[in-house]
Amino acid sequence: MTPTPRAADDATPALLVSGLRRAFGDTTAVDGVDLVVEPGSFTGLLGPNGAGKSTLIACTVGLDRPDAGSSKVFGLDVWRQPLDARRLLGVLPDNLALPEHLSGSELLGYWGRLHGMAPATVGSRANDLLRLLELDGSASRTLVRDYSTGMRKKIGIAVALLHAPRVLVLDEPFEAVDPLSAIAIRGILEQFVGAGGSVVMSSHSMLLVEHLCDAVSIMVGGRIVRTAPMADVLSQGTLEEAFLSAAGRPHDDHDQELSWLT
Amino acid sequence: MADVIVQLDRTLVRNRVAGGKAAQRALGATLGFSLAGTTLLLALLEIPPAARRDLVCLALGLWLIGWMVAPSFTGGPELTGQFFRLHPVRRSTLTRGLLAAACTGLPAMVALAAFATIVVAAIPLGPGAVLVSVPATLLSVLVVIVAARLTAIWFAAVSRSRVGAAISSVVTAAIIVVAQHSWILLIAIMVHAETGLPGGLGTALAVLPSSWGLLAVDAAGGGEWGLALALLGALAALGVLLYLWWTRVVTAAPLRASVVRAPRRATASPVSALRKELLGWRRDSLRLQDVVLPVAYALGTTALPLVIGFGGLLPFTGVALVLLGVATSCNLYGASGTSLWMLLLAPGALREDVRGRQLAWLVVFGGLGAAFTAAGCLLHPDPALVPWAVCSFLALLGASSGLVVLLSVYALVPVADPHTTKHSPAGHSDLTGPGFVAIAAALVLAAPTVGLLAAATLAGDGWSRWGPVASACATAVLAPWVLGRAAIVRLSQRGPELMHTMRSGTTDDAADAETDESGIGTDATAERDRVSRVSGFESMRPAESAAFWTLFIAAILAAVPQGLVAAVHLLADSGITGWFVALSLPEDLQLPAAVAFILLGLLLAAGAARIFAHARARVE
Repeated sequence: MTPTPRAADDATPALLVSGLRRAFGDTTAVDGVDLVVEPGSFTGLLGPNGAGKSTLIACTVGLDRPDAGSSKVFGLDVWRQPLDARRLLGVLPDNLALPEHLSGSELLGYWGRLHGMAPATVGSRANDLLRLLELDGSASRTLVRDYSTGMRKKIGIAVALLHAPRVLVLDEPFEAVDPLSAIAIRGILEQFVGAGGSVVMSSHSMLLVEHLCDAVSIMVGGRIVRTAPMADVLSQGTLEEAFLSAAGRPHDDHDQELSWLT
Repeated sequence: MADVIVQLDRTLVRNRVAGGKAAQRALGATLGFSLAGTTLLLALLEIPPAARRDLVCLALGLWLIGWMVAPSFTGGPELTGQFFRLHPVRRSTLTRGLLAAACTGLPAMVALAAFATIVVAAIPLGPGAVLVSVPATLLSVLVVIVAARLTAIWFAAVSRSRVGAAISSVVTAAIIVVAQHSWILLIAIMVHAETGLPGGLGTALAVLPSSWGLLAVDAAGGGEWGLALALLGALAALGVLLYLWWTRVVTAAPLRASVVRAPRRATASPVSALRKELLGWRRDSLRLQDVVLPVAYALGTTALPLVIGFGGLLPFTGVALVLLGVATSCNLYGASGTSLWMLLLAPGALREDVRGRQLAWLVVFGGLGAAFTAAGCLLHPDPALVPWAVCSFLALLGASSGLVVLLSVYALVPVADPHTTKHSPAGHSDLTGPGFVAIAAALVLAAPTVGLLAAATLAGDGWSRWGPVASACATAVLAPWVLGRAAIVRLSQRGPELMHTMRSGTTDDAADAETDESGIGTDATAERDRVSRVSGFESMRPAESAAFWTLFIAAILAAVPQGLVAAVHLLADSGITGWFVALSLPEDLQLPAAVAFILLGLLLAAGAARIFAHARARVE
């Protein structure tokens, strides 16, 4: 899982999103987003429900075609040089289907084959990932369609990691994952970044983002309203306070509502 | 409480009618009461009483079986005990309410009309028989309704399993086969009208509970009161037993009848696209359905004419399999849902995946089809039919293995992802239109081979014999290659757009296609799915619906039995005249007449399509 050594040109950002725009009918889900992820950094993407995070991620990695803007992985354009860009990218998309009739290890075998990996490498990496994420043992014969939500997340993370990418783009990797597996995933991601890999992760957990990430971007209504190093954010207060001031507080009149709920 | 359940059921029916299902309901009622009327008429036929009794028993048996298997494809009644699982209501009260609701519904009226045949049959036998016939009819209807409720619960339990998938496919295939071959059944019935059914079949029919009422009436008419009362008692006892059983399982949770597991392996190994697909054909119950339906259809279509001693269709079992196979598999990529993302993110994976899907389809349908063609040719050894069967099979197989990937990326029908519909019966998208397109396209691609076959048959011996062989081989090689290539190009150019269609349904303007949060996004997608699924059928006015179905049935009757089947009889030189208009004409006119019927069928189909398009235009 150690990322391949970086290109000589250290100045090239791991991920460079510029002017990205995506509209569905009258609604602009992503509205001119710029995002820079430096090599070896861990960026957290925060935002309320419906802010456009998943659409941004889909457009960034090449799953959804943006109306305008570009996305580059180590200088390789996702739309113009897709094959080279895809080799460097590991993606956990939001709640998409998988080949549901395969077991976890078969799914990883399929993904390894799609990436043209050597059989021995596929076997050993898949076994490592399945063991770390606790998808081996009694779960090894379970088909993906019978997985729980948390297990689906975990096999998705294994898929994102199997081909040893240099940039990971993860949509809510910790959602519905049990605490033990969450610790394992944290360990994997920290090791990945420590070895020079870059991660962008959307999440609703302030605590996780605060602990893991060294940079944070807050997205509201299709725009990135704040991007800052985590150290800067924390020097002014907690991440939650920074998020609330960027995204706006929810209604303060909770006292009047549901007054019967005592 | 029971009356609350009845009212709830009423409301559900009313909402459905208000929701644009009025035409569907009217059509169902018309069809149901017509069939019930036909059953009543059977009791009045001027044929020997024994033969008439067999015939009515057969018809009532079909009603019972029809009711019992119907839930496998209608999805069963809307209001079930399932909904009341968490309500503090006693199961006995619940069952009573559900039974009352079922007995007052339209379907129950249809069943009552059909089983009133028992009363009609009793009238000539005297007042005693009529007296017996009334409870006999009511008890029969009760048994039918409760039995159907029990099978509905069972079908719901196995609906996601492979067993359930296979059963519902076989039922659907049986309906198609019977509808298309009704002329054969009519001939068989006419043959047996004088003599009654062969002994074994008659006895088997008498065992069915649907026959007991009629047998009781017969016994009463003959003065055997003991037997009549015993039969009535048995019918009542059966009804009570079934009712008690229903009370036991009324709130049963849908079970996952059989969970498919992967074999245990010490270490993961690479899985090719071909292997992934073959595993899918074996493990996925929806895919299994796509195989079982064509298999059952092909076997039924070619074997049913054996009841009138005609085996000339047997060599074409493989052809029939492939023809329906291309229809059931025409949405290969749509059926895999959003898992397309893996192909869009892996470098250069599209080619291997498209080719793997084609090859897997060929292994499944080509293998079965080749076996069916060989077996058919052996069972009906007619040297004149072998080149027809083999060449048309090869050409259709090639064309279809190209079309299944091409159509699924050019006319992709979004299907809800299986993991988002885990706890409801698998939702089927409407694939009727694309299915017919697939069949038509396969026929067009195979047309040159069929034309050369006809030319070779007319020319007799000579070099022209090799024309169809060459054409079939060329189609079998070129069609998969060229069409598969086109699918690869389309996927590589429009992959993200196909992905978007898959995520958000067919409507592109949906502003809420933003699926940021899984829960919200999924609901929105489902909602849109439902909106886009209000098809032309549901928007038809009752008169339009009647005209559409009349034209549709007439088109099939003209094109298939009167056109295609008559042509096959001509080619096979079967000497059968049957009800085929073309075959009763002077010899010179026979082939032109068959062709004319095919053209007429196409014309009528075009008329039906126009009505459909009109109704659909109104929705949009």
